[in-house]
Amino acid sequence: MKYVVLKFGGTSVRTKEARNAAALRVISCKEQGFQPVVVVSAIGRRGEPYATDTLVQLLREIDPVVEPDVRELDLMMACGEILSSVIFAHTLKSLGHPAMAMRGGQAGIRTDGQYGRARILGVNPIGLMEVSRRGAIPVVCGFQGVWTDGKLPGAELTTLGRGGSDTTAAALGAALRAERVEIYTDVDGVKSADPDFVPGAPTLGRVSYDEVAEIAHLGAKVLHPRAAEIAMRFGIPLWVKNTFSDHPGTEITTRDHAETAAVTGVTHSGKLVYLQADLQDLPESARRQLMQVMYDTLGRQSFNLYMTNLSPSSFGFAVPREQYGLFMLLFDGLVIPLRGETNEIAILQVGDEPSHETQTQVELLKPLGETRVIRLASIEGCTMVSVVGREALAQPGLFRTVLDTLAEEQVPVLQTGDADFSLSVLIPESELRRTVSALHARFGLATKGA
Amino acid sequence: MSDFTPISEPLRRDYSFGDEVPLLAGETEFEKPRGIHRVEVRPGLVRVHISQLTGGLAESRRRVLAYIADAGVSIDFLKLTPTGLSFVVSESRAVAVEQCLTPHGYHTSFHAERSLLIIHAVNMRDEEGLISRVLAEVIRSGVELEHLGDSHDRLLIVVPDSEAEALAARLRDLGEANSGGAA
Repeated sequence: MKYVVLKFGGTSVRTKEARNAAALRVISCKEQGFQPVVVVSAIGRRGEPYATDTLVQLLREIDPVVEPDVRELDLMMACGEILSSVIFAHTLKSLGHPAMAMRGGQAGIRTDGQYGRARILGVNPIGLMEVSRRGAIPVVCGFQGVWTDGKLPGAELTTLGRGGSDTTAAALGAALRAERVEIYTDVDGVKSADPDFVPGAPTLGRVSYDEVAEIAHLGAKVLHPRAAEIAMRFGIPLWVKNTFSDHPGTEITTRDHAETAAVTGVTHSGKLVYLQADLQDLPESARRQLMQVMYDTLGRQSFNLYMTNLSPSSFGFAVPREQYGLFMLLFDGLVIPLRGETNEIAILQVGDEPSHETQTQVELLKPLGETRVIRLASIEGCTMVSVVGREALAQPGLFRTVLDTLAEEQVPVLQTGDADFSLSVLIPESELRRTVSALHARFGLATKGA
Repeated sequence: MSDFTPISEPLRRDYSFGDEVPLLAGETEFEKPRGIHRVEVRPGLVRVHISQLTGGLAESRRRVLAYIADAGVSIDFLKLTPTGLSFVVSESRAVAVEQCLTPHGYHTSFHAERSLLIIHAVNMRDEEGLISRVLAEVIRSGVELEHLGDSHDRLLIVVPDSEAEALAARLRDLGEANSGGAA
């Protein structure tokens, strides 16, 4: 049997008309001689009656102070996909095609035990194959799996976290050795930039797995990188298509088959706060102690760091804006006794001006010995823009081109970072639109695409 | 309508239709485990640090990059520092960098015999705190951490060649301790 996995996002199952359009895609696939396996997300988007956030809100509004258990939260979040799968299966049946709604566990998806962010450990597709053998179309709830610990009765439902439905589709595609996995959404495919910032940004025709994983990691929302990584690992052709148009979409394939371009796209991500400390005057051992306290604390408090950098005289990193409040709480006014050559007491000051807490600490600690205020300069309202391209990073002068372009636009660059397929700059968020648009134009991306 | 058999017919026992999924031998393994799953060492690098740039800092940095690009050298891990910039080049290209920068009188230091440690961890940013925990461990080890960069699935650290293998082993141990698996 030749399987094709078709995944439909929230907007593709939002209304009866949308579901009919999606169902016709499934039927067409079947009529071409393939066995479709459908994966669905919850119906609609944030704020709509059956969207995941709405369901979670039902729990939270009981008592905003009492945090729901992660286990119960997972059960609640999974309801959206269950509703969606039943409705979609019934839609197919009403169009004359037998179908069967299946939960993630029924489709054989086994995960680890991390509620809310489970990873898929294994997939046993035998149930899907049996349903298919009987002539029905399996309609699988995305975003969920099960795990067993041998203590709780039965198996526990888990959700897969961000991008869970894309990940479900790719995993089922790999387990079934599918001909291809098709991710349906409400845009034509993977774009060379966010069309909100670059109107008319073209849809990419054929991109490599690793490039699309990079684009997705760096902010493009059209496909989750976990799905691209699974598809790459198992060599399953992946497509991103529009449920509502006949555009051919974007094919995600191996490097050998992908189109060659120095730069594939420009992405943006994150609302960040950049923090940097100049430690020029601090002896080596004191620098080390200070950084150790900082990184230990950041690790224990589960901070996500971006744009990490370090030189013999300074260090810096960006944290997500939603974590900045906690960062201030932990570090502003923090007292660090520095052992060794100096025997000083360091007091951290976050920002240009000392807060009341920092001033109080300085006053209180003065009688104990030498104190030194170490300032962590903070720049709020930052974001990251990335140029992604398999070939670009190997070419001399890419950094120069990017920095020259932004200088012409008078966009200040706060920090840079690079990976195998991308070069990123940290800029003020107020300059985001101009930056994306200028880099998109500089690399001639407007004329590319399918 | 096709020959679909209603599901009222009992399914064979070895099929999983409840939430009780049998953990089958030979089941396809999917996503890589959380945390560090591999640590690589790549020797043969030179760290270049340019400091005390005068005039407009942004413009001076761009001028330095222009000289390097004109010399046909590709650089990695460019980082902006408070008074200049630093980056890493392969040993074979360090001389070209030196030759193109020396005539301009920059305050430049070259640190040869450097290795790049590549710490692989899938979806590192979904594992809150992982980057910080790795950095804390590196600092605790006493190794001079000279340069670092990060992306979604790896942390990159430049250290002296002489310390690279020992640090890599320590980080592999950290990966095993955290995940219960091999790093």
